[in-house]
Amino acid sequence: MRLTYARALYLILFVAALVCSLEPMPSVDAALERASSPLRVLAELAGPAEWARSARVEAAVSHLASTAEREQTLRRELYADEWRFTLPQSQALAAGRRFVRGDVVGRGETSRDRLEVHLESADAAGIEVGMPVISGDAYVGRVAELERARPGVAWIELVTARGAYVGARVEVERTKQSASLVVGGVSGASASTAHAYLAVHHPEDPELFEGRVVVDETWSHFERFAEQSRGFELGYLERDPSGAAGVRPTLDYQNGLFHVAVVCPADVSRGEECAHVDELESGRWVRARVLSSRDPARPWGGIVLAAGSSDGVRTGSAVVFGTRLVGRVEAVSRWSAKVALLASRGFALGAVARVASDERPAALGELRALGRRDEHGAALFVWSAPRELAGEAGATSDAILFTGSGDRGVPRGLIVGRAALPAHARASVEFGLTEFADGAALGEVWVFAPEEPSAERAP
Amino acid sequence: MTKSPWVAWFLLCVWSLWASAVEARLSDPFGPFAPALGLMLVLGLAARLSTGQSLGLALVGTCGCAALCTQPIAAVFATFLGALFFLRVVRSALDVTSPLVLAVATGVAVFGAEAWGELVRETRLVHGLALADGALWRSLATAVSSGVAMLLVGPAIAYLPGVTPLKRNSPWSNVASVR
Repeated sequence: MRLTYARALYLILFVAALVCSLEPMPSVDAALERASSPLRVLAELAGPAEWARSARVEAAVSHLASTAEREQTLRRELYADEWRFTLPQSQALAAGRRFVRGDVVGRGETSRDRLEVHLESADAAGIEVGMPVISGDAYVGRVAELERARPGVAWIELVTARGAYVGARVEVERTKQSASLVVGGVSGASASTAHAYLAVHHPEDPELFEGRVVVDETWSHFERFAEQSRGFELGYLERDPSGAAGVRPTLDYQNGLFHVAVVCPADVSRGEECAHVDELESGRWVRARVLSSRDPARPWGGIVLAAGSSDGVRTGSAVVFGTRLVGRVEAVSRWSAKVALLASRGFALGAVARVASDERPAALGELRALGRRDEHGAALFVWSAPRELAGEAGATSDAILFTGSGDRGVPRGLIVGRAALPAHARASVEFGLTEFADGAALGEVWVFAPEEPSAERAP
Repeated sequence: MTKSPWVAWFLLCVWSLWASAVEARLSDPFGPFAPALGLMLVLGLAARLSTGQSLGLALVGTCGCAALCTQPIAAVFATFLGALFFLRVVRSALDVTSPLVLAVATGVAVFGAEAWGELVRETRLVHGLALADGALWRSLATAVSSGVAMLLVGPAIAYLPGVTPLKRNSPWSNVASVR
């Protein structure tokens, strides 16, 4: 076989396509999607192939519509309880302080240790940089920045950030021993594991490897809000995977932070807080027809929508039907969008569980789909960093799963499905998700069009 | 009836789109045993066309499939380019217009294409360069059904309405002389 120019071109294109397939390059993928925009016209010609499933679509829509009202009530109850448990449950921690709650809506582009938080009254009056931020009885970090262009938007630096230090005290209940230490950043030995430890610096007693660690910065003359942060929990002192002292955190800082509260002095000058806005009732939703409900590339198993960037759809936007999450936009061209369905292998989301026997919503962290058991069966998910749930050891708890916040394109509180979760799992767990919205059985869906984030500034 | 190759290419694109749409629909009742009609169409035609038209065939096949699928466009393009490259290699040794040879070559190409799709998905969405459990078995099922389907309908593909202007007067002996 002679190597002609045509053959050389063919081989170059082949190798380039192979490389671009295996090594995702967002700019190349986006350029190819933009170039493929005219294919939307072509896709319309395949419309009759969708007619064959009209009966299935009607059945699915009617089922989902019949449960919509009950699900909306479930969402409101979840939100009310999440809000309630964002505040400290201990009277000692609640006394003499004022709390301003906020939703975590995203993470920093350059640092996962910075959270974008929308305060409940969309007003940052009285709030200052450096004020402590908590979730329940646990310490989260400090206010790092207040956006002038968007009042009510605050950036929080987590205690896991490199260079974030907080004075603390370890208290051993058994021996009534107490020692001071500094906590901040993630312990290097545990950074790549599912259960990261907070790093310990300058411990007063280097031989101490047990005890409850709480914030205590009252000894520092430079810490203006030491009284507000005092007593909030960081976690438990243990040996980290390298054998050095580390704090096993109470919170899952990576995936389990959905609501936080800024702690202010009790006499802060600030008006009344106002009720939150439900994203489902905001006007930021685009109605989209399903162009292709079955994927010819079967391993992928997504759907294609007749709405694209010209309609405000962005990569990462949530796709819903009623109150239920259907999937997430993976790629957008000008007039169409490709959606990865909830049950597609590899689909990941942050979730909150409502367990029947517990009124406190449980932040589950990240769940990842492994695909469906069969064509119409339950979707298998893996829960890689399980937390303790209400229930007896060895038992499973029936739970309704909702989306958490922190993913800019996916509003919190969307219904994901139902699952039986182990109450006290220690290692990674696989479970079946049922009663989820099957996007392949829908003819029309809604896509979230989130507001554009402002350019992130360096901390 | 027009003899313009541009119209023929467009019509082939529509046929490719329809093949992909029907292939997707068939996966509902047949699961992994649904034949890969989009790839079959392109390979069936490539066996009858000159090798110089391979790139055009790959582009048309990619357009038909990419309009309906969620796989990254680069991966779809690589699938068609790879399958046609494989047919070109087979063609240098065997007469691919023979139904049996074409059916076997299609089976092998579809197996590679399906396994490739699984590999790209795992690499991009799950955890690195690996195949999911059962991926090879699913690819094999699709390959067998596609090979059988090609044996049954392969010879008819070159006579699809609208695409005949693409076909040159190129029996095997002529094609072999230019390969």
